Amino acid sequence: MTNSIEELHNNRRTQRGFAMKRCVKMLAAAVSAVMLFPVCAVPAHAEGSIEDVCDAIREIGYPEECVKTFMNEYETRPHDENGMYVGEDYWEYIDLAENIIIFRDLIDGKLAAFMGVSPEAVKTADPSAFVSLLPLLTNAAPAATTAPAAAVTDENGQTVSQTTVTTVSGSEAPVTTAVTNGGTHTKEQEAAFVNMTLEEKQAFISSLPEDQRAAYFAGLTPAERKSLLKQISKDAQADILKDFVEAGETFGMHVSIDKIGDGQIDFSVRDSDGTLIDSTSFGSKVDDTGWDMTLPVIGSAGTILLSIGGFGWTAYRANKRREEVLNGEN
Amino acid sequence: MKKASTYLFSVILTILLILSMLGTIGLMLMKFRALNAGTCLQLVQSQDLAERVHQSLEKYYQEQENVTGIPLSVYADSISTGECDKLIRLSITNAFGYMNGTVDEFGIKPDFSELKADMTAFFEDYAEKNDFEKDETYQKKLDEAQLAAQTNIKTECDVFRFATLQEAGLIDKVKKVVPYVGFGLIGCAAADLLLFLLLLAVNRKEKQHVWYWLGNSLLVSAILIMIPAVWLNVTRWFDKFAVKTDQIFAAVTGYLYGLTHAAITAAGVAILLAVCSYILFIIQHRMRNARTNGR
Amino acid sequence: MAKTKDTNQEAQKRSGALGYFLTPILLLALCGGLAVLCYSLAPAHDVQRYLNLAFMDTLKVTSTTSGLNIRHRDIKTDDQNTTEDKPKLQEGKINYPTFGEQYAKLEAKSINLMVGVYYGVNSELLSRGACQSTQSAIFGTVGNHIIDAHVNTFFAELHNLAVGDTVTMYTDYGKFTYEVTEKIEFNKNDKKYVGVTKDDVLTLYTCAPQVIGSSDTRIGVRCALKEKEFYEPLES
Repeated sequence: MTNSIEELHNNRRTQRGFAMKRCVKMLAAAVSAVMLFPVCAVPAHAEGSIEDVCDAIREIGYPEECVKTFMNEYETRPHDENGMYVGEDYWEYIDLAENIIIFRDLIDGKLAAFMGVSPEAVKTADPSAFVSLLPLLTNAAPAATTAPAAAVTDENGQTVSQTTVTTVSGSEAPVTTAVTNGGTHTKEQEAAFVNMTLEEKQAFISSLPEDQRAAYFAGLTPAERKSLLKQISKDAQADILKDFVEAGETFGMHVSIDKIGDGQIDFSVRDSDGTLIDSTSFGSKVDDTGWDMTLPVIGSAGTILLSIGGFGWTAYRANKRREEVLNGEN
Repeated sequence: MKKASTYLFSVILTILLILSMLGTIGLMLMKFRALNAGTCLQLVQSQDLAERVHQSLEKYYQEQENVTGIPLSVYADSISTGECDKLIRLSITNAFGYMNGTVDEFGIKPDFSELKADMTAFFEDYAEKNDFEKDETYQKKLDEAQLAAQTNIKTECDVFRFATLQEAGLIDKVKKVVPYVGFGLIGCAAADLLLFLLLLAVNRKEKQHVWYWLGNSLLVSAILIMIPAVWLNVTRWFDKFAVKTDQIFAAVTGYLYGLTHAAITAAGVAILLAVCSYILFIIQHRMRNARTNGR
Repeated sequence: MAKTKDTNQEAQKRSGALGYFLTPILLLALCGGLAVLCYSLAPAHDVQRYLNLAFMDTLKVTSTTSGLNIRHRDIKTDDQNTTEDKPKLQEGKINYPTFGEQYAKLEAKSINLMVGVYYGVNSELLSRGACQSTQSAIFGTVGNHIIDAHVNTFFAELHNLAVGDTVTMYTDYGKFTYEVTEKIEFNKNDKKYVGVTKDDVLTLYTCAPQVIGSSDTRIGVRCALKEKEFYEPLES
């Protein structure tokens, strides 16, 4: 004799809750996974569908869990074959997807601008123009072959996504980096970039020929973007996060940045009902789990010292008065 | 208060007396209020806890009827107001008995024979009507249902959540401390007397000052107890733990606020004694001054 | 001269009266300061902890954080299990929690610890019990399960856990037993123990006690999985 109502409730909660839970767990990766597309992606599907919106959410860098959460939300919102309601507004799928992609370009442009690269150049750059020299510099140079996969284009002939596989033959084990925008960054290149300080990154970018700078940004991997986002100034972070937050608003995810600290950005995410979905930070977080007793301790210690001083003063006055009385009598 | 050394010695003795008085008042509250089963038993009546528990259980089993198939009538006799009252009081006396050392084992073992009989009768009747074989599975289901009902009723009647506190280790911690409360109280009272006598000795040349220092001790101890107690009451701090379950809310907040009221009362008595002490001091001080000036 | 003598006597009376009024105030300040200092320096603040522990299952949802839904699951520990024959499955269904849900209970008998574990970390949840980071693995899955709590309340005795002690996690979908393998201490900027792991490990940590200010040091334990039992099979 089981409690079937409880079970049904738990199952529903399991489906929704887990998706919600995961959706911003890796927002650090999400922001850094923003892709530098040369153009705004236009939905690949002919007449626009919810899948286009999902693709756009992925494009801008939200993790798959967020997409699932969005799909869960989608089921609860009024929608038809052409569009859906976000809040009280009706959006056609095509328009909604385009609206989301605009934010991606904004974010990409700001990252590039911070590093001294023209956002306009990044928009039109060809990611494959940059070819990584690593591990060719650090090891015996095996031959590298780059084989771009077939690009997926939309009805307007514009590139939506492209996969490039770089294999390094020779004694080294194959180094393969598959990135979705045609980047040619090897794992060694990625690791080297990630481990650089901001100054080293800036020096590295500056050392590249002009045409390859924008190409480098056009082919950034998620890890590289994540490392860069953590290192840029707080103002720049706040600026980029603002766009990221606004992007979330377009499809009903309410992100609020709680705190930008040293190497840590705390944020909260709420769904359209205002229910708190997550409260976490970019990257791993070590929480503060101690009460700060500074004020009570210092306050009480100060009070004790003052009162001891008060007693001393009173005793001194009493002694002085006694002497005056004695002197007066004499 | 004319000599500095007398003043400072008196201050030190007064501080010790304040601490001792705080101990005395605190231990009195603990012994006669907090660790007294009567406090909780009184709340059972004043907060009508038995009726609240009965209604909660009734509602629960009514809701469960569609899920488990067992009608409310099976449980009716076991969850009557009288039975609930018995179980609540049993859990209170057991918990306090365990803490005070008069009971060896924590946890009540109520007589659920009537409940078992009612449930067995229902199951047998059901099995006969539906041609169920009374095999091992049947017996297992019956045992599980009986155990679940007993546990549920016991938990609901444990309005002060003694079982959870025991699980958290608090009951055992209190049990270790309880034997020393009485001795502590006597010790603190003895310390109060001793410190008073020492004050008398230090202020032997101007005995009227003893009343002044005694008044200070009583006043300061009273204020130190009253401020937090009043704050807890005024801010309704314990309502933070306001619970969904009606009877637990009534029981727990009743107990805790009762403690704060007792603390405020004790502090009030101490303030009155302090005022009397100050009056005595003023009278004696003036009489002495009159005698001194008269000479 | 008589007049001067009278004036002096008057002044002495007044200053004497000042001492009489000032003394009880100074006594109150001194004793009050002592009381606050003792409270601040106390290693554990048990009243709130026990109140939370005793009533955590039935607390009203009075959250001050906007949108935070605090919920509690009905979780039975070994002492409360009414059915003896729970199936002991090595793989089973996981009932994933949502942010703000108390979905587990942590027990460490060696230090008399029993505390509810909330999924998600914020100041409000930390005041109610132990909290599991949303960046960590859910119990039942493989990975690093990271739980922290205030050193002043729930994890006051955490430093007393020794290597070899057992830590048990109870959920409504399974029971997971861990054994302490090492005691850890790290700086809050060191993310070594709060990252992803390939193995099933449990990381418990809290702030190192510090009188003034908030400590930058974290102390705790790392535990390895010893045994797991799921209550429901995957197919159901």
